[in-house]
Amino acid sequence: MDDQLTVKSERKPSEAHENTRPVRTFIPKVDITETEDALWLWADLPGVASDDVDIRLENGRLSIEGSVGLDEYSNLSPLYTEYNVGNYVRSFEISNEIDSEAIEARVSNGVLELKLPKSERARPRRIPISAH
Amino acid sequence: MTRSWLMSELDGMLRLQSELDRALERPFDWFTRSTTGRGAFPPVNIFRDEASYLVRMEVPGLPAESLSIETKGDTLVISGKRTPTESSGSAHRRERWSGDFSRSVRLPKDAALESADASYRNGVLNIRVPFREESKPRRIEISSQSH
Repeated sequence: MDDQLTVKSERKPSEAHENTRPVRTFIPKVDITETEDALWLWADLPGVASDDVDIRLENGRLSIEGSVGLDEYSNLSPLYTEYNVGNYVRSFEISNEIDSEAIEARVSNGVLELKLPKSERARPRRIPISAH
Repeated sequence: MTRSWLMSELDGMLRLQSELDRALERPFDWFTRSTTGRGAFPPVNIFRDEASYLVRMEVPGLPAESLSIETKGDTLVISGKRTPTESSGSAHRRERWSGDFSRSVRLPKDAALESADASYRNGVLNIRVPFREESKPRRIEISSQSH
């Protein structure tokens, strides 16, 4: 199946995302697949609770933001560290039309699953040939 | 304690990224590609508080049942498997890792591994290993003798 949508990733959040506080921001790893009727996205957001995920679709730009809970880090001293803790931000340009009313999002075990249904117009359609 | 204070403290504590930035001789950048850069996988952080060691591992998207934690002497062995995303469609992007993993974490002698407990929340595994009783600070009473 040929891809019907093009998805462009932006390495950096736009200027609008600039933080006023010194919070580290990381780019989450994602899987994106396309089926006939929808675009599916999974993003790894370890440490982010489902209430702390913000998803926006505006002018063909999908943006995902997740903020980590920091309460679990109070009164701790680090002995050895391999990963940093901070928020997650990533955005994508999505070329064709998504039915924004029908977007479904679910977060479980630190993974966001997003279903972006294509609008009626953007779905592949079989054109019947009438026989005379 | 305010949230922003905690965040900057945390950032100072987890100096890994600034070390990496220095190593790569690039200007300081708040937006970094990934939370980890050391290669060992999945990444582990170790902390301590007043009563125990805390071992944390970023393993998003696993059911807790597919994680296994064993102890061998003074070493914790954490293993599991993450299955690839199931989808019938065509892939635009595949960045998320999958497959078997195993990490060993050796803890100091005063870690009471037999009393460890673990929880898994929001894709982060958290193992708490209390200090041994004998290594906890203890107040020594001074007996006063009166004649």
